[in-house]
Amino acid sequence: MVDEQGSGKEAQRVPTGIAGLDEMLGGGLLFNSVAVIKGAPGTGKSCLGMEFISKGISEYGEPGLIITFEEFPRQLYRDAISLGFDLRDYEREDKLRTIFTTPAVFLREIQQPGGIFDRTIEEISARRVFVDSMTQLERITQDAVELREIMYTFLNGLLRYDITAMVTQEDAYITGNMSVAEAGLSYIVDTIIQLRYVEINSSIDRALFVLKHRASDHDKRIRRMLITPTGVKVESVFEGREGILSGNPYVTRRVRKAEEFFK
Amino acid sequence: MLDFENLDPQIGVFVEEYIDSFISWDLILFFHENPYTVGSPTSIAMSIGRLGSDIEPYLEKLAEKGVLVRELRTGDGSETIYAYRPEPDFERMVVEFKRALRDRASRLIIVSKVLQKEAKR
Repeated sequence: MVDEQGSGKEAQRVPTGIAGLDEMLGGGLLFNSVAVIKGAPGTGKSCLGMEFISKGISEYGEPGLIITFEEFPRQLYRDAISLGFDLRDYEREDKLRTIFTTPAVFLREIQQPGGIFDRTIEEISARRVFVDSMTQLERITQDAVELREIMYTFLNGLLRYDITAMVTQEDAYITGNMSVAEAGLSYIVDTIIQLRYVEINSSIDRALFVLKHRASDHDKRIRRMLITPTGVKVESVFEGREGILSGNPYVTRRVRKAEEFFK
Repeated sequence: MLDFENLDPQIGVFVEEYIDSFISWDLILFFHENPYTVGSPTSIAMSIGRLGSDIEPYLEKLAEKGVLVRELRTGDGSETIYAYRPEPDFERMVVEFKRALRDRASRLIIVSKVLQKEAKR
């Protein structure tokens, strides 16, 4: 654990290792907390989560656990390679486990004393967990109250150990409409990181902003996010653009005037 | 005409011992490629596009051979869950098996062997 701020463990920061994101989060995620990454399909939620785990292993010596309900591990291994990480190598070194299962089986394992979750955490001394995705918990029930209880149990089960977790939740809308995290997840988690598609000059960019970071100051600006062969990079703000959250931003009057001046 | 003698003897033994159907074939490759899968027969069946009731006997056989571990979860709607716990030698043979499958002649021999086993059932 690095970047300790304050005296108690609760005040410790867990750097994600993602370029630009830790700066936005005032140093990183809160120790033993859950952060949700929300976004439409393809916005880069899994990339962020895999990098959180990979950087934890490679830069901070913190073994990790990936729980995937959707994508097969073999697909994650392949995708991670394109980001510059070899998850299979980490597994061979006993620094990572990529558990593929269903939400129902995993929920039961979390609740089971000495179950597979408990044993895996102990086996590799995991300090970070990435769950992809919480949206799949909807397969257990369609009842909103029950789903909220399940999510609450699920996340508290994760936090029984001294781990810090990232989970994903899928947005139904590609651009435009935006909702808070579904099934009450917004209230349960400590940090909400929102990813969005943004149309600029007839091409699609990715935007990232921190919607919530409990008991902690954070960068409230909307930044451009890039997925590169060496990982995710959270870069500069969208200068001279407004209406980013609509997915279809416009050039500000000041920039338009400047452009006209230089024509 | 397929010449069964042309198959690597080690692969032949592996197929004889573990690949007694196309479902065992699918299961072994699936667990090898996704080694930390934990699932019920139904959830594993979904992952390989089969029926839970069809794969359950083969999961049991693999568990009896020590390739999978099974644990019974009691309580509401008790069920058995399975996870992959192969010996390193078994994993090495799966890698060889996959390599053999990429060779057309070897693949045809293996398919033919499995078909013969399926026909006997």
